[in-house]
Parts: sequence; structure tokens; C-alpha cells
Amino acid sequence: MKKLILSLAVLFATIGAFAQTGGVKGTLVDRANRSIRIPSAELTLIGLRSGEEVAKGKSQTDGTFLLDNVEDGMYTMVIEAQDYNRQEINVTIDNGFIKDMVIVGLTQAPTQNEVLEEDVAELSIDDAGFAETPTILFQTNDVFASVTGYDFSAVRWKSRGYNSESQQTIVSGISLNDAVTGYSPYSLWSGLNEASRSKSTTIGLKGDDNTFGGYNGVSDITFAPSEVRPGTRFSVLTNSSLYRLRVMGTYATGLTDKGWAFAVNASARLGGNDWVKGVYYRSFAYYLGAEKRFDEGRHILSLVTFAAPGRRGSQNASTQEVYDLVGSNTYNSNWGYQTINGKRIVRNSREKITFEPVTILKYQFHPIEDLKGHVTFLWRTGSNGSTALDWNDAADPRPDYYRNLPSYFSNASLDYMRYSGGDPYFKNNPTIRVNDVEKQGLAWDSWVMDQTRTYSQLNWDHLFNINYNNWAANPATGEQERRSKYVVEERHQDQNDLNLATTVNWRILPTLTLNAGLTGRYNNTHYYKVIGDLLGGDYYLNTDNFAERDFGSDPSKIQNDLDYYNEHGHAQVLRKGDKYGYDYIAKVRNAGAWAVASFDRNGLTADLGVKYGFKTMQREGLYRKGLFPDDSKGNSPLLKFHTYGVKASAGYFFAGAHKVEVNAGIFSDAPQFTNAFVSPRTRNSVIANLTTQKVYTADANYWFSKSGYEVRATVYYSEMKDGTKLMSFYDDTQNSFTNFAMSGIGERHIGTEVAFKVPLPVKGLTIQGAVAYSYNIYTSTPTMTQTIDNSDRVVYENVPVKYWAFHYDIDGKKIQHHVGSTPELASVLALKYRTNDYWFFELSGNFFAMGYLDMNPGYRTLAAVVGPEYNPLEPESRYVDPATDDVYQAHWAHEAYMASQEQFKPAFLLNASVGKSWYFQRKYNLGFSLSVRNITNNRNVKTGGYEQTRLLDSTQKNCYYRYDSKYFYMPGINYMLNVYFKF
Amino acid sequence: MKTNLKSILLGAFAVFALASCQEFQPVGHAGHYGYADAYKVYTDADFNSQFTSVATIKKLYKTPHAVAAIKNGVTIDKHYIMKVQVISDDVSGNIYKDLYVQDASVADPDANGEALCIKVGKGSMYADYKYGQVLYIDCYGLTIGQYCGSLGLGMKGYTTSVAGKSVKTYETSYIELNELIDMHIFRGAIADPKLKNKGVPQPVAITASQVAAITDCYHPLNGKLVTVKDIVYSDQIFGILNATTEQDDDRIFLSNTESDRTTPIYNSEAYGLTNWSWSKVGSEAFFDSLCVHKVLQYYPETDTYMGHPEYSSGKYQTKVYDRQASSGTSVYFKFKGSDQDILVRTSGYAKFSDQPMNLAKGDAISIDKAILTYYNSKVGDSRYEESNRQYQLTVLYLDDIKYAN
Repeated sequence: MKKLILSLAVLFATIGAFAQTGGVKGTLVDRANRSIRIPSAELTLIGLRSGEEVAKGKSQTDGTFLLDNVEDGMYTMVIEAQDYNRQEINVTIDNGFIKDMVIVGLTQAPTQNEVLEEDVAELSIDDAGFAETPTILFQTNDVFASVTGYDFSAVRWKSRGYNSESQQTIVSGISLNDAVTGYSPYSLWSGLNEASRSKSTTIGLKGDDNTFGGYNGVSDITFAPSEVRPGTRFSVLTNSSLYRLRVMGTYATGLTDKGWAFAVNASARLGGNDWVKGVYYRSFAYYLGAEKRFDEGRHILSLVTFAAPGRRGSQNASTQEVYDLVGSNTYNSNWGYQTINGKRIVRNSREKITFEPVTILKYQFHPIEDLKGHVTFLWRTGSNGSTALDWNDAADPRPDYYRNLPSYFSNASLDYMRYSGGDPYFKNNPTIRVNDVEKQGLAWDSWVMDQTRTYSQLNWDHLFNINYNNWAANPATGEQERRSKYVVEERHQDQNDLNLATTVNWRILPTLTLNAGLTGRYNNTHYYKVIGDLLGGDYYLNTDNFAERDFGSDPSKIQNDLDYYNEHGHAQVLRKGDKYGYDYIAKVRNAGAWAVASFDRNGLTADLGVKYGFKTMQREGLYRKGLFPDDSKGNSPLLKFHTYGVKASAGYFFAGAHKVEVNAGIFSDAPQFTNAFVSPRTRNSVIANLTTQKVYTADANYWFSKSGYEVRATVYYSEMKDGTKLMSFYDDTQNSFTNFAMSGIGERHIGTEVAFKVPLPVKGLTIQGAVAYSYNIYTSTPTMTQTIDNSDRVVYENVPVKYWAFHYDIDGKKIQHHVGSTPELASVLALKYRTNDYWFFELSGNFFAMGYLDMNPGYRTLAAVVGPEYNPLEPESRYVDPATDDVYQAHWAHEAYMASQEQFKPAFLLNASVGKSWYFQRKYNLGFSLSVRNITNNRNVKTGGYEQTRLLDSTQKNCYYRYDSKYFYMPGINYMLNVYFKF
Repeated sequence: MKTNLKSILLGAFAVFALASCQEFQPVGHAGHYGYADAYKVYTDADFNSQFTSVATIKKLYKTPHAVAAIKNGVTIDKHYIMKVQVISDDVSGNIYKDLYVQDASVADPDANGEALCIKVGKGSMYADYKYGQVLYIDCYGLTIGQYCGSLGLGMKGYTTSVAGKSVKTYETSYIELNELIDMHIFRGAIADPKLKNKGVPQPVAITASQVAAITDCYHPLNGKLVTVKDIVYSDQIFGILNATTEQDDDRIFLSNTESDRTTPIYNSEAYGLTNWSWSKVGSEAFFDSLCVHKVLQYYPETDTYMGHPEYSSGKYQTKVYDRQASSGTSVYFKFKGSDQDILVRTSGYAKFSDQPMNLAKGDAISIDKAILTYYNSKVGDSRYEESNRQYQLTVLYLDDIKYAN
């Protein structure tokens, strides 16, 4: 490795040995308050005649900047800083001197929409088998990211169709994607918008000073106390789609003369919203930071801690039938009324309760002009819980349980009205109909006419009353006590995450920079659940509810903690706060090294980077489970993965502010812990054929940037192999989680991104737009193992998911399947108008199309397509269509029904914003921004969902039917108003 | 600056004003939601003490029992209120979806109260309706109908057609919907669970002659909680192996009678029906031991409801095995000193499934508590030409079966 770096250094050194010196320096300050220095501003020197970018740099934390090694000549210096208007200044450099501009004042941009991306990302879908989060593109200097920003994440758009764990999140120099899931843990700092404001984003294959990067960009948040905007700031925000109220306060000293910087940011997010009842916030957040500079900034030590403790209610997906019954696509089945002393309160059964403090100790060194680096230690700990209902030998309490729906009775039968599918196969079969019309109507009534929400929402009173009266002998004491039939459980994923990273940024030559780093991670994530609320009962038992049905006479089989049972002779009696159900530790260890050499001379840029990683994973079971006595307690085999990445890029700045760049990379990534075990809640079994995922990717980019005009156009191509995925769904019939463990997933992503900003002839008026189109398809036939948490039987073992990548329609046409959960076409067109007296107005239209529903592998095996009672090895032989004698057509008809993938309808959204800032006495600044989203009140925009897992036999036993899919919808018209005051 | 501060305060106030109080309410409890109010306990006074007896409701059903074809049940169009007491308990899982009650509006309900099956249609009903609990049942809109000789009160049955032809259905269907259940069943007082037998119904003793006298659905003992002494194992078991959990039409009927043993299967022994019933797992093991394809091949009485020809081939056997569900039995006994058969019925979903019977021919048992039902396959099912009367005991708990020794 060293040799490689040295060779590169020598190579680039010879190319760039004859550069001249000369440049420009100064200090960036806020024009309204000159005591405020502006750090992290991007400065670019562009040849006035050539349009060529000749130098680039950033302002330091004290606002100072230096762009040197510039030849004599006339230049335009472009300054871009967050929250400030872009500024262009003409600069002349003579005789190789450093021109000192002393003070450069920037005008604050009116504050636009406060970004709540963190909250968007938080919408997880626990029981749905996926918890995909959208890509969050922070508004930075990339024109595409800046134009699309919040608009795209509102529909859960994912950059280039990649899964969200491929987007790297860097916190204070440390890669902080979740150790077990890979997701970006935005929720750790949600509500800390001021403290996390200083950040940068890269797109695609680009890394940055702190990381090698991946293939889906980097979000790099500094959290440095010195980079929090100095001064005092208060804001009050209200919005109608998430929470009603956010109050936030920030105080930061900026860098003092003595080299100290302190910053505090705290907030509270409270209340519900207009669209999804039961979703509420009672969330708080704090950030405390201290920084000290020694030896004129050659050594910097900082200590930062932050957390976002709180409790909030979450939303659930339902079938379209349910949404239609209640007349709202934002119905939430999670909540219901609980009557206390005659007064009814809203209670959500699915709440997130978190307190996960993060502490960062960072040492930065800058011993010489051309060398800097840091050593950072980050510790994440605390508690991350989410509640859910659990029940034992009792009716399913969820209001949208399929047996409570009219379709269950109209259903005709066992065929559930699915018979008249309109294809030849179904038409030529006799129908069976049972119409319990009366009950269908009554079921309809119990939803539509339910004024008191007794049946169409959770009925907490019923659960309590059942528990109140369920007297049974406590097996430990023999005393009669109330045994809870229903409880609220709290599922925990508590992390102890220790991270260490060191990075060196060495400008070896004026033309050559080397960024390199070492990383290490030690993560133990404790998965368990506890009794959160006994709901009026006295105790609960640590037994497996579903196993009880199958193993009635063998009490040892139904024990969640067999060792306890063996020792005491009875199941553990649980009280509030007691651990039960499952209990295991996910142990993930990572170590890695990376280096990227960057060459830059005369407009020509080139990067070459390599990285290596080693990852181990292990499950340590703390319970010996009755169903799996030999495979549940203790350590699983240690899984080891060697990973690598290589990437290269070449670019060129043309005269006239044009730039082109091509990037290519090859990556191998270890699977996530959550995708490595077939049923991590119950046993140590590892997914078969587990291997690293390989990604081969390339992109080509074009930029233009001059006089307020900005364009980026990108095309990309990615091929992925050997992906793994564990989808864990809650199955009504099994009263348990069903796990689909897939391996060997192949994907191809081809697409383009185009964005532009064009100033219009009216001063302050800009038109901007962006289009992202991505063709994201599955390319392989993965294999799948299906297990049920509460059963020792493997439903399917390593069966090919034959119809995963495509199927044939009834005409024999091949229909390709797509990577779901994101629109493949996303676009925005916006008009922006800013006045000199700090008003701004924006009107934007979004168009999204070609989104696909996430697929369930269970519907796409041969066994699912050929039906229950036929030999799966000879599928075609039984699909002879009596009308046409066409064997294949009939087979395709069934394929078309069972394996097809739902495509979402296109959606158009209209948004508008207005804002204004007032300055008083050059010291005080009061402002507001108001945005109204989805002005046309489009309430039919699906943002995601999932297929249910169950297969239903047809009465004739000649085919299976699918259950209705469940969806999430975007809220209708909503507003956000932010009022701030700073000084 | 004063003006500025005023505007700030006004702005902040406006934001607060937008936030209504109610939506902050759920979080006002900081995670401690407290206890929900207890349900109202209905009393006679809520119904003006005006009750219709179970016997009267039973008599509303007019269809003669001997009719072979399905008839409609009788839908009740008046607010008849029955005061009843729960005499069944599905805690062990041996009773499923049905709730048996006896009239509590009469003096000495155990002796005089007629019994009836309420087709509630829910599992784990013991959570809602306790053994011995008083219930008030509003019969308006419910249907009284018969299935094979026993009456049930539920919703109207529905029609089924296969390819345009009418097929078997029931005169009643389950009430099933939560709202419907709440409209018809009102909870009264529960017996104090800490005091044994307080207010809890006591079974009535029955004899062979009393049983033999039950010949129709109206009989007062039909559906009653009974106790029997000294019934003798006949060494005959009727078993149903269910091959799927979704439907009831993938069934294999096995009769373990003396004559069956001549059939050359499984080492010329009985089918090995030695458990009270089988759980799903027990049933799979049983299939293994039985070598089912031999049964299917050699035992002509083995039948399936839909008559799939594939059942007889080895190909289908795999499928049956794959989808094996729990299985119940009917175990034949006779009253001591009598030729009167009485069957003990068990369900494969019972928590006591897989428990061995430990009985040899001639062994006697007593049963402390069981629901007695009359079953005549000819009534309400046109497929059977001859009357086939059976008297069945459905035990609530396995502990209620007492061995003579």
C-alpha cells in the first residue's frame, strides 16, 4: 500500500513541478454583523477570460481564506456559503503576490424552508419487512442536490434507485451508517438542525476528505462547535404533516480570541398533525459542544455530545380496501381510544421511545500548511425501543385484521373474488361463490358508520377489560392473579457503538493531494423486548404464543427461555419491565484502510483510490429457545468478510466554465447483520451462500457554471451481484414473523440526472429544474429460504425465486421487474424570486412516475405460481387451456397473476414558499418562511408499501391467490411555517 | 426594539395557537397511560327483568329434524332478551368458536335451564365470556337454525354455489363481527374467580336411557353441561386427519374398528390412534408412522371430501404431508351395562392434544364435565341416506376425564 502511494506521489510530482505562486486571501464576515465570521464557505477562482477553474478552497472556522499557487491574471472569485447569497468578485493578481482583500462581507440569504428530512427518514415500517429510507440530498453546492432537495424525499425517492444503506453518512469524520442495518441514523440528531447545519454532500462515486465514499454519495456533517453559526437564535416552527410545534434555541460563541468555541442547540418537537391521527411527537434534542485551538490552530481538540430523546407515535400501512372504507388514504390503524374516568384519550400502540446519546472526541492536527488530519473517537449508546401489541391465546386486536373487513365475507368464497381476473385461465374454470351478503354489509357498516371509532380503530378498553377478568394461577406461586392476554411490548435495539477513525489530508505537491484514513468499529447491539404495559393485568408468561398451538403437549417447546423453565419447572412469570421473547446480541466488528490520490493541474483532474475492509459478524443468543435448544443460545459461527473498493476518475475544466468528469469503481460490500441470519430473533442459523455484494459502476458528468447559470448532466451505469436481503413480515395467520432470506440478488441501475439553474432577465428571478431517470431492474434468480420465527420447520430452503427478475404476461411477453420503493422518474421545475429587501418566493411543480411496489419473494417461486396441488416439477403440463389448447398461454396467465409487480400511478405535486427577513440595528434579525406543499391536495400518491406474504388456496386447488397489498400514501396539502429570531 | 419584540411574541403566540390542545393530549401521559375504565356490568334491571326463556327461543325453530335438505333457519324479528349463563370454556381449545349457554332466568338453572349453542365465531372466547358468567342476549336479527340435530343461534346462513349448482351450506353462520357480537351479547356478572364454584354451573348426571331419549334438536339435554359415570372404552376410534389449516375439505377419515384391522396396512395393527387428538406436530409424526400412502391405497373407506383422484397417488401424499394440520378424534364408549354408544370428541387444536389415552378395551372412565350434543348425520345433510344418531361429549378440560383406577 505504501509503495503504491509513494509511486503515485512521484508520478504526480513530476507532472506538477513547475507551478508559480500568488493568490488571494481575506476574511469572510456577515455583512449585517461583522463580528460573525463565515466558516466553510466554498471559494473558487475562475479565469476571467478562460473560464477555467484555477483554484478552490474553503474558509476556515475563523472565516479566513487563502487561495494560492495562482498565476498572475484576472479572475472571478465565486463565494458560496450556506445561508448566504452567492457572491462573485473580480480579482486581479499581480507579480505573484498574495492579494489581501481583508474583509469580504456576505449578505444573508433569506431562510428558506426549514428542512425536516430527518423526520421523513424516520418513517420506518417495522413489520412490513422493509424499512427503506429515502435518499436525503442536503442543499449544497451541487446544483442537482440543491434543486431537488426536500421535494424528492417527500415521495421517498432514492438516489439512482440504490438502497439507502449505500449512501454514506459521515459524522465528525466518522462513517456512522448503522452497524447492523446500514441505514443512515438521521434520527440520532433530528431536531438539531442548527448543530448539524454545517455539512457537505457528494454525489455518486465521490468521496471527500473524510472518507473513501461509496457509489451513492456522502453526507458529511461536521458537528464542530466552531462551525455552528455564532450568535443566539430562536425559532418556532409549525407544520401540518408531522408535528405541530417545534421550538428551538441555539447559542454559539464562534471562535473566541482565546481559541475557544462553545455551542448549544436544543429543541422540542411536540404534537400531532392534520393527516395521520395517532402520529404525535414528544421529542427533544440537545447538542453541547466545546472546542479549543492550541498553537494557532495547529492542534484542535473538541468534545461534542448530542441526543434526541423522545417518544412518538408511528403510522401503519393498510390495504386499499381499508382506506376506501374510512375514506382516507392516511388512515392509521395503530391508534385507538382508551377511556379513563369517562374521558377518551388517543393512544398509539406503535411508539418509538429513544434516547441514544452520541459523544465525539476529536483531535485535529494541522502541523504544516499542507498537512492536516484528525483522530476521532465516537461513542453511541443508550436505548432505542419501539412498542407493539402482543397477545397470548386471544383474538387479533388490530382493527384492520382481514377477518374484520367486508371482503372477508363477500369474498366469495374461498376464492376471495379473485376469480374474475379477466385472463383466459380464470375464465375457463367454473366459479365457486359464497356470498354472505348480509354480513358483508354489516362489516361495511361497522367501518363506515363507526362514529365512536370503536371498531375501526384499536379498542384499548376491550383489551384492558379482558385482562381485568382473566384470573389464572400464577405458575410460580399458585396464587390467582390476572394473567394479561394483551400487553404492550417494547422491542429494543440498544447499541454500544465505538468508532475510531483517523484521516490525513496531505497536499504532497500543489498538484497532488493524498487523502487517506484508517477506521475501526466495535459494535454490540442488544436486541430484546420487555413488557412495556400489562394493560391492567398482573403478569404475563415468557412463552411462545404460536408454538403453544402446535406443541400443545410439550411445554418445553413453547419456552422462550428454556433454561429458566428447566431450572424452575415453569415458564418465567413476567412483570412490567421484564425481558422476554427474544434476547440476543449482534456483534459487528469493522476495520478498514483507504487512500485516494488526487491530481489537479491546468484543468485536468484525476483521482485514484483504493480501500480495504475486514468485517466480522456474530450473533450471541442469550436465550435457549424451546424450539431450537441447540441453535439458539451462545455464539453463532463467526462470519468474516474481506471487502475492497477501487475507483478512479478523470476530469477536465474547459474554458468557459465547462467541466467534464468520468468516474468508475468496483466495490465489494459485506452483507449487513440484519440480512445475514435466517431468523435472528430465534436462532443462530446463517443464510446459505452468504457472500459479499459486488458493485461495478461508472458515471460521466458534465457541469457548467457561470454568472448564475448552472447545469449538471450525469449518466450512470451500475451492475450489482450477490446481494442479500432478509424480509421479515408479520404474518396474521401465524401470529408470528415470517422471514424470507434471499441471496444472490442481482440488480442493474442505468440512468441520468440533469439539473439546471438559469437566471431570468428580471432581477432576482431564477428558473431551475431537475430530472432524474433511473432504470432499476433485477437481473438474477436469487434463492430464498423461508422460515417462521415460531416454528422449527423451514418452509422453503434455498429454492430459486424463479419469477423474481421477470415474468411472462398472457401474450408471452417478457415483463421486467424493477427495484421497488422509489419513482424511477422524478422531476422538478421551479421559479424562484428574491428581492433585495430579503423577500423570497418560490413556486415548484414535481412530477413522479414509474414507482414500483416492493416484491415479496413468496409470490414468485415456482410453487406459488403452479398452485397447491400439482407437481411443481411439471408446471406446464397442467396448464392446458381448454379453449385454445395453448399450454404456455395458460401458464403465463397464471404467472402474470401471481408474479406481476404493481406499478404506481404517476403523480404531480405543486408547492409554494414565501419568506422574509428583517434586520434591525444591524444586529437583530427576524424572519419567517412559509411553505405550502401539495397545493392541489393530491391524496393518491403512493410512497411505498409491501405485498403481504400469505398465499390463499383456490377452492379448486388449482392455483393460489394473493392477499391485498398494503400501502403508504403521501399527505395532502400541508404547510410549514417557521419564525426565527437571531442576534 | 419594543415593537420587534412584540412582533416576535405575537408570531410565537400565533404558532402556539395553531397547535390545538387535543393533539398534544396523547403525550401528556409521558408514556403512562393509566388504566382504562372497567366495562359496565349489565344486570336484570337494564332489561326490565323481562326475559324470554331459551326453550322459547328453541321452539321458534320450526323445521322438522327429519328433512334431508337444508332449510333456512328462523330469523328472529323481535327483541327477545335471554338471560343465560356460560357453561362452556374454550381455554383448553377443545371447543372452538361456539359458546354454550344455559337459561339463567329460571329457578335452578342447572336443573331447569335449557341449553343452547351461540355461534359467536371467535377463538379464545374465554377471554371475553367466562365460565359461569351471566350474559344477556338480544335475539333480534339473529337466526336459530339446526346443524345435524343440534340448534344454534347465530347469523343467517348463506348460499354457496359451485358452477351454478347449489351445494352444502348451513342454516346459521357465525356472528363473528365484533360490532355484531356487541350488539347481541351483553356481559353480566362474573362468578368470583377466587371462590371455587361460586355461581359456577354444575353439570347434570345423565344415564344411557336419558341419552337414548334425545331424538331431536329441541330436547332439553341437547347442549347441556353433563357428567357421566362409568362409560367403557369400546376400542373404536374415528379420526379425521386434516391436511390443511385453511379449509375443511382436505380430510382423510380413518375408522379404527376391529374389522379395520384385517386391512393389510401398517403391520396389520390399528392405525395407532392412541392419543386423545394430535397437534400439528403430533399429526405429522403420526403420518410418518402410518405410512399414509398405504392407507390411501389399501383402505377403501378412506375418503376425502372433494374426492380428488390425486389423493391415491404417492404424488399427492407429499402434498398432504406438507400441509398437515392438527387432527381430532371421536372415541367410542358405551354406558356400563348398556349398548348405548357415547362418543368423546376431541379437537387437534386442544392444548391437551398428543396426550395418550392409555385405555384398553373395557376400561371405564368418568367425565366430570362435558357438553352433550346430539348428532344425526342425516339431518341437514342430504348426502347421507340413513339416520346415524350419535351422542357426543365435548370435554372442557382433559382433567375432567377420570380413569376408574
